[in-house]
Amino acid sequence: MDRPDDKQLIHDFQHGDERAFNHLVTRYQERVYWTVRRLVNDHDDANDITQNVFIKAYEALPSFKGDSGIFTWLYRIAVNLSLNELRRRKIRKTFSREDEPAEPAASADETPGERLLAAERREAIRRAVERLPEKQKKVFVLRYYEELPYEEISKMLRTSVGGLKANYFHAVQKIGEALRHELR
Amino acid sequence: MNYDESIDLLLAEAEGRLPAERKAELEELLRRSPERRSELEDLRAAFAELRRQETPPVPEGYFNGLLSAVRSGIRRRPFRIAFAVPSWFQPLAAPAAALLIIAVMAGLYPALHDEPAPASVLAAAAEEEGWFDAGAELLDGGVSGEQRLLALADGAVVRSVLLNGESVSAVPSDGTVLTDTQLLSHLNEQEIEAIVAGLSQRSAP
Repeated sequence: MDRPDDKQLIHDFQHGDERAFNHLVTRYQERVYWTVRRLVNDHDDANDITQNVFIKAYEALPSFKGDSGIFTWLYRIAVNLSLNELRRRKIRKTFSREDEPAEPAASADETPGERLLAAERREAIRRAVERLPEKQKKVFVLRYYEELPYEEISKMLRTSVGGLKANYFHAVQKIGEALRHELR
Repeated sequence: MNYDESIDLLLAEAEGRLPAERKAELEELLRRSPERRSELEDLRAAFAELRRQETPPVPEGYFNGLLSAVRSGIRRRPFRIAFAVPSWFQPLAAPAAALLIIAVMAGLYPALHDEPAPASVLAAAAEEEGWFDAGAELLDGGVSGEQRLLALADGAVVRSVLLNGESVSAVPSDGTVLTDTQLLSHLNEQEIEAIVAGLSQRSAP
């Protein structure tokens, strides 16, 4: 049997079918989670934010008119909540000077040397992405990790495709430069 | 070829999506500009390094339990009364809002409500809307003085809310002051909540 499309699920949910919402969550949970995770770099925060994204979606879906795709809509919520978390961290850091949370170690079947190297690389990339200006960070995550077309990102961030490309270009340049310094 | 076009070309090549018919264009650009050639090499090196990055670990079975966590989060949310605006009223909404603003500007509300609304009321309402966790945090931390709080809902319309002692003002992204600080300081909690709800609706994705 064909899986119902997003429009059908939204229609069903708006007419009282709660299971339709479950379908939407399971359909998009991984993509939403990874977008958030790439932005906030912490599983626990990403978990909280991902849940919040869907809770907000649940509340707002009854009035969702479908001007944009559900996918675009969810991503917009996810990116905004993630940036919220980053700002909160920044404020917290300013006042308490606490350190950023570190990612846990990688999988157990690696040798300690490989694990260390992978962790170093991940951390270097995390720092490089973290240091990007907000706009470049959003564009980078949505383009590089989510592989979204520029046109889709343009709708999400309400920016011209030309502007996005320039942002992406500079983001990749800066990350490359940072990695050259850190990993050489 | 202008700068934006050259960026487009370099990115397309580095991302591996440059169509064959544009290869000659790229070659010409690289031949004429050593700077662009160097930028392309840097982009390729950056992408190569990024591709070596491994996916960070996720607890086993995490995605299997996410839906039930979302469902339980939904159940824990405070009860809200939802209502739909009748379609016949929608064309009248903007004029009605304008009339309301005029009424407020004329001093009706300040006259009726002498009690100034504390900034914490707005912060609490905004926090409920998921906007300004940072705001509540600042207030909880006893930070005094004017604080610029970034709006979190969308960012397209509402950029910031300023908290200044006991008064508040909202500034949309175009920089126009939406509501006067003095005016808002005379609104009661319900009115502030209505403004927050209105801004939330405007900035909803």
